[in-house]
Order: sequence, then structure tokens, then C-alpha cells
Amino acid sequence: MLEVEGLTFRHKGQPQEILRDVSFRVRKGEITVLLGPNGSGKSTLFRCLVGIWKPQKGTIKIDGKSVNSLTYKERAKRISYVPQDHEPSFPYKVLEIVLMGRVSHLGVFSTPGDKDLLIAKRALEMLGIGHLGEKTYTKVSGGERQLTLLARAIAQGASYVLLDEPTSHLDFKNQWTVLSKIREFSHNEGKGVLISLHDPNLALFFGDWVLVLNKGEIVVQGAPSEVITEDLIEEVYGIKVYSIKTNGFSVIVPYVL
Amino acid sequence: MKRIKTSFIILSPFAIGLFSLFIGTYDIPPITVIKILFQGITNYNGISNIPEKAIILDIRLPRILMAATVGASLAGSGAVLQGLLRNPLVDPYILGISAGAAFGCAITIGFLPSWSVQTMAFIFGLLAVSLTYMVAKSQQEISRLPLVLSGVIVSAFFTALVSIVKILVDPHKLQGIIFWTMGSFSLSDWRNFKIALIGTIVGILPIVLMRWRLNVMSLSEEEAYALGVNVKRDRMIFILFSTFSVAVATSTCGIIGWVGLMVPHIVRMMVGPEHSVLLPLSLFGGAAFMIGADTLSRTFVGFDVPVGIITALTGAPFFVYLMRKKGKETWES
Repeated sequence: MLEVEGLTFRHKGQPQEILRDVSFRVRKGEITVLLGPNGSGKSTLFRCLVGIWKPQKGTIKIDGKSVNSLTYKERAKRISYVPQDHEPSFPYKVLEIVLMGRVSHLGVFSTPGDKDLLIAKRALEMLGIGHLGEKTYTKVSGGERQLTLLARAIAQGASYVLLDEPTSHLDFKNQWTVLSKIREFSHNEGKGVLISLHDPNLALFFGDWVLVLNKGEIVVQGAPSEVITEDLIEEVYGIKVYSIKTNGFSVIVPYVL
Repeated sequence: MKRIKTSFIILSPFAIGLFSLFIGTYDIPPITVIKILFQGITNYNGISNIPEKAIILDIRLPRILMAATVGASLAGSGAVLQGLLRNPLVDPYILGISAGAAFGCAITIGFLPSWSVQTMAFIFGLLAVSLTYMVAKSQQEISRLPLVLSGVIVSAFFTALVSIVKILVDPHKLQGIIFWTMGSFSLSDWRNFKIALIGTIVGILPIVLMRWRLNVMSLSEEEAYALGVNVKRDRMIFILFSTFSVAVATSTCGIIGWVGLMVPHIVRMMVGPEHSVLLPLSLFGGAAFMIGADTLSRTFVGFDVPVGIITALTGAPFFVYLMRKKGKETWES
């Protein structure tokens, strides 16, 4: 379990806290969705969880061990993270990108071996993009790129995967494809996934647990269908919506102004 | 296809180097060259000590080996810094090493004639890079852009100092400074070659061993960190060793531009950006290109043209050609 207790963070020399007393858990085999408007502190939370930024207060424990007590390699073997904006520097092949996920398993002077190649290929197969291995990463579609980064996180072999807005640049179909793959991976492999999303409907459909972050605080958390209500959306996003039930699912629809 | 390209790059310095032994301002019949080489390899003392022997074995050979070593060093460091700073426009001098070395050379030639130009160039080259690092560090976290910016600042500072020296010294010394800052292998001998070789091995070997990690280092800092890499430590190691290697190369033969920028580029266009392939092949490519450029520089006209002029003159048009042909895909997303 990934346990976060009383996390408080502000940037050095700046008075306002970006995260305030944030507490939650991410369980293995479940998708925990982080909802919240722009600037609510989602990306900051991710950076704190991976240890890029050090919170002033609070603890982050991965399976009982504090993140900050782990070495670079130990941490990377337990928790992987796909940042929001990935700008590739050089046109590597998809397989080469995925292989980079193995770096925490290799010595400083080593290059990936057959075992690493196998793991990388298996990660691509698991997401149904095994055929893309030799393609240039910069030339595949946005959805395929997200899956490549997910495959890299899988190859890293961590029990917890953090994904910061993986669907934000994707078209309608690709959003669903990518999220279905993520759910499949989480449930089948028993991995804990924390994912930030913008669309409450995607959270309703894919989330096992939802955290709602607003102005640096967790407003509410719980099962998606209980948490995501008309009142909550109005409170957090400031727009009027109504919730309709169809085929057993609730869907959030804005009032047309 | 990739295998053919790889073999081509690996064999090219040997082919060009061998060819280069046969040509020079002093005309030696090819058959004599072959005899001398044969004799040099087998230690068989068949021919008496004719001047041709010294020209081949003590002038052309060390010069070719020297050019190969320096070329490999510059191209290898260029590949490292391009990857590290994830910028294809970076060359090995970006962190201020050339400006620092030029200043070391200028004050030695200008005011300290009894001192060694090589040593002073080496010291000031390293000093400039340390200064760049310190300036970048004043911004708490060292990341890519501040590093490049600091390099530009430090370079500008030392270049200004060099200009002051140039104004103050007499024209004869000025010529010496200018000659040195355009690079030349005309002073190559076995002793200089050994210095360059040892410096290159010490600097490049650790980088070659760590070459695969350059891929991860070329991702964003957050990604590299999340993948489990100690970004600060690894970046420091790569900068330290590549700087050392370039400082040694520069101190032995002056500032030779273009090679470190262009060769990694060309190799990347041929075999792709993956650093465990790109880095070793850049070493071979750099060696080949530099031998070729130096051969031109010593045979083109009656005297030694500074090799830095040749690398720019031949490199620029070739680069334009490559860019037109397939340049975009090597750095654009």
C-alpha cells in the first residue's frame, strides 16, 4: 500500500502552501483517480510522491517504507511515474524508450541484456503494441506514445504507477483505449495506479477510488459513484451540472448556458 | 543496411589513415612507403635510414594518429554533451572550454614565453568549465538551460580577455595566438600523441562504459529521476570526463571547431540516436573526419593551413547537404 499522511508542501521562500494536510492511500490492484481543476496541486502531489520535491510536513510510505529513506534504485523499483508533458529529445525507437525503464535494475556500466529486452517486449505485448517496437517514438500517434510510456513504467517493475494526466492530449477513442489498458494492467497484475484525470465521467467509469483535490486540499474521497455528485462538481469546478443514469452508469452533463 | 553503415564508419578511419600515409608535400613513391611501413612493422633493418623513413614514421604517422585521437575525443565529447543537454546544437566547447584554453594560450604566448602553452591551455580550459558549473549552480538546481547559458557567459568573458591580450601583444605573437586558436596538427610528434592518447583514454573510457545511460540522461530531468537515476551525480561524471578529454585534446593541438558538433550529427543520421551505438561510432567517425581534414590541411597548398579552417570549410557544405536530404527527422519530433 502507498500511504500518504498529512502531506504539506510549499516552494522554498514562498508563503502559500500548494498542498495542505493531504492524506490518502493507493491500494494494489486498484485505480485511484485524482480529480481536480488546473492549479489544484495534482502535479505537485505526484512530484512529492516520487521524491522529486521534499514536503515540509507529512509522511509518504511505500509498503511501510518511507520514500525519502530509499536509494534512487530502491525507490524506482517500487514506484514509477509518467510525467504530464513528455518532450522527447531524440527520435528513439519505441523499444529503446521502453528499455530505459530498466535502468534501475542495471549497474552504472551495464547495457540492457536479453532479460531486459524480454521484459520490455513483454510490456509492449501486454498493452497490445508489440508491433510498434521498431517504430520511431516521435512518429507514432499520441495514444501509442502514452502506451509506450506506460510500457516503460511496466518494464520498470514497480508495484505502484503514477500517471499524470495521461489522456489530456488524446482524442476521444484513444482516451478510452489507453484507460482500458491501464485498468487491465492494474487489475490483472495487481498494481496500484494513481492517475490524474480531467473528465469526471472517465473517473466515474475507470476509478476504483476517487480523490478530489481543490486548492491543495482533499475535499472528499471515496467510491466514484458516491463522491462525484452535482454539488461536488459545482463546488470544485464552479459549473452547474446534472447527473443522469444510463445503462447503470452515472454521467455528468453540464447545463447548457 | 545498418550493419553496412556501421562497418563503413568503423573502417573509415583506418582506410583514410592508410591513404593519408601515402600523400604529403614531400613526394615519396608509394612503393617506398610500403617498404618503409613493412620495415617499421617487422623491425627488419633492410633499408638504410633514408629521410623518407623519418618522414613516414616520425612525421606522417604520429600526425595521423594524433588527428585520429583528437577527432575521436572531440566527436565523443560532442555526442555526450548533445545527449546530456538534449540539444543537437551543442558542441564540446559549449561549457567554455575553448575560450578558457584560448586565454591560457594567449597570455602564455603574449607574456609568459618561458611557460608551456599546452599546460596553461589545459588549466584555463578546466578553469572555465568549473566557472560555468559554479555560475549555473548559483541557481540552486543545476539544470540544462542555466548550464548552457552559463557556458555562453563564461565563453564571452574569456573571449573578451583574449581580445585584450591580442591588442596588447606585438604582431608576431598575435599571429601565434591566432594560429593556435584555429587548431593545427603541425607540431605532432610521438610525445604529443602519447599525451593526447592517454588523455583521451582516461576521459572517454568511462563514458564509453556508461554510454547506455546517456539515453536516460537525455530524457527530461524528472523522468530520469523517476526511472531511478541520480541525475546530478551522473551529469557531473559525464561532464567531468568529457571536459578532461577535450581539455587534453585542445591543449595539444589548439581549438578545432565543427568536428564535435557535426560528427555526432552525421552518425546519428546514419544509425539513429541510441547512445550505446552512437557514442562508439562517433569516436570512429570523428577520427576519420579529422584525419581527412588534416590530410587536406597539409597537402592543399604549400604550407600547413590551420585544420580548423578546413573542418569548417568542408564541414559546413556537407552539413547543409545532409540537412536538406534528411535532416529534419534527426531532431524534430
